Amino acid sequence: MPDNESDDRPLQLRDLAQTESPEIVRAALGRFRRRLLVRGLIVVLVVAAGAILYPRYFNPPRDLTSEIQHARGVELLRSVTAGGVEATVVRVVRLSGETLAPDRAIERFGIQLAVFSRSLQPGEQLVSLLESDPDHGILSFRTGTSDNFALEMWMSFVAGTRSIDIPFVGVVSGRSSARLAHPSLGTLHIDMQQIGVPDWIWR
Amino acid sequence: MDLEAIFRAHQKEIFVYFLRTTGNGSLAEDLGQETFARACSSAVFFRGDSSVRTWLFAIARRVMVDHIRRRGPASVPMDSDAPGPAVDPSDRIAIEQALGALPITSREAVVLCDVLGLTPSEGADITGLNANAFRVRLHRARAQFREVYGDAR
Repeated sequence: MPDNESDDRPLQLRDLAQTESPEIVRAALGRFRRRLLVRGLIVVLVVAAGAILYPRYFNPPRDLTSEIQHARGVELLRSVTAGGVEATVVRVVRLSGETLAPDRAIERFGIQLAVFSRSLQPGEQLVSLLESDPDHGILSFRTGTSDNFALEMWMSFVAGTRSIDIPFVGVVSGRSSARLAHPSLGTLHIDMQQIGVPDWIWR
Repeated sequence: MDLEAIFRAHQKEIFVYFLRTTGNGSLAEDLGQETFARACSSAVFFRGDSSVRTWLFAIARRVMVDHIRRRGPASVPMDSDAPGPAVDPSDRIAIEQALGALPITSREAVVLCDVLGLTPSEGADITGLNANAFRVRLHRARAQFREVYGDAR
């Protein structure tokens, strides 16, 4: 059936198309531009709001202490002793991945450690000689002291680091100087397998 | 040819489409503007599978459908304030009354094919019906119109 040859005759209404049309294209283009502007502003506002709110509500905490407190892991409470130093591995957790360099993304785990020394005398202070060394698995650490004899440590390591050694010294610190009272209080050797850290945390 | 020139070439028939389906000049103008504003947004997606005319009418139809959804079918009555051709005023009123008596889908089919002169195939493309279904609709619409207006046309 060819076009315009329906089974009935077309109605002769073409006259109805003969009417003056108002100028609508220019107004339509204006409407489009306004809409584009409004949408652009909405996108800018949403992006700005996202940039402000995301770090506040969705970003993992970047402070190592709170990161270890909030991450998934186990309360181990295992004691480790070396020389004049006694320590308790309080908590071991799996931390989120981190990008050290554009081509170097790593998985991490963290340890909370409480250290105490009975070898110190009044006025002496327990100090850790741990150094950050990503090539040997040590990423970062933080220490806090409750008194001179005790130390609390939060450390992060590259996943797969099976054991770590943490040397301690005793220091006498004055107002303007510090001197070494105990050059070697002991070096804690923490072996993840030996102290029973689950594989999924440290590997 | 730039977009504005293309739109301008089809401005009148898009306006007539709305004018003759709604019978309301200011509403037709508003819906026409909305049609071209939407066409600006979707111009980048136009692949040329259909003619520009069919593409614009398809957008116009969606604008009409959206308007009816928002406001209801009663929002497209056939008023008699629509500018009309220079014919006998009583004849014009009778034509508009006959057109206004049709359901909106029948009115649309008559406007597309018998007022604007599109082919039933184009009408089918615009309304999203298959060609036979559109022809049936057009046939019934013409019969309804003749029933109301008389067989003079």
